[in-house]
Amino acid sequence: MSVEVWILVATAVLAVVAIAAAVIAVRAARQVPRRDPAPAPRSAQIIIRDPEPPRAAALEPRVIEGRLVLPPTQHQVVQTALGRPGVRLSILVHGAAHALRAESRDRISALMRREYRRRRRERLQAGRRAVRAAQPTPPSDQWLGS
Amino acid sequence: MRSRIVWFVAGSAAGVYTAAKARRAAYRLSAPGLVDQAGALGLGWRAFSAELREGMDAREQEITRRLTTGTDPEATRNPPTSPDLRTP
Repeated sequence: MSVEVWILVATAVLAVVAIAAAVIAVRAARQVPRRDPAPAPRSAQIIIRDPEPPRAAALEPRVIEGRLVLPPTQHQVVQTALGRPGVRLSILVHGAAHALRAESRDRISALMRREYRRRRRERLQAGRRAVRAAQPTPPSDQWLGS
Repeated sequence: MRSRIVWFVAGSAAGVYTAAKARRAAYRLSAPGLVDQAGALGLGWRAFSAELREGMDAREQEITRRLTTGTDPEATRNPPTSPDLRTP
């Protein structure tokens, strides 16, 4: 037999094996019980829930390469974050914006105006009292004459 | 005659108004007036500092809350409106 005949026989055997494997696979797939999906409701409502906030896992001190590493507490983390220059600047800008809003401006200017008028009024009243004390008015019956 | 009276009243009112304004301006520029203005300015500065501190404290508390709870207070205060996802 020539080489071509041998190759043809080998190819035929491979084809038979492949067909047999395919038939077995199809039968196995058919034997898997089908799950009928539940009838889809005509109106489905999707409820989206906010995920729970991640809870800070309590870290424990560990020894890494012979050095004791203490994880920072939450207070230390917050203080460090608040001490950053950008955060400090943000806090300052927010405070300035709060103090310069229209309500605060009006309140502060009215406060200053009232305080100035109160001081001026008290000073003028004190001046008048001093003048009266220095120059007492004559008795009211002096004009009648004696 | 009538126009003379009108002009007399108008001139008197303008004179009184100008005199009061001039007296107040003179007091403002005098030493006691400057002291009073400085006192009022100090009170205003204290009020401004208190407002500034109040705003800074509010911002600090907001940042602290955001760091500790991991939630955005603005988002919880104004939740985004989700579109209607129901199928017909």
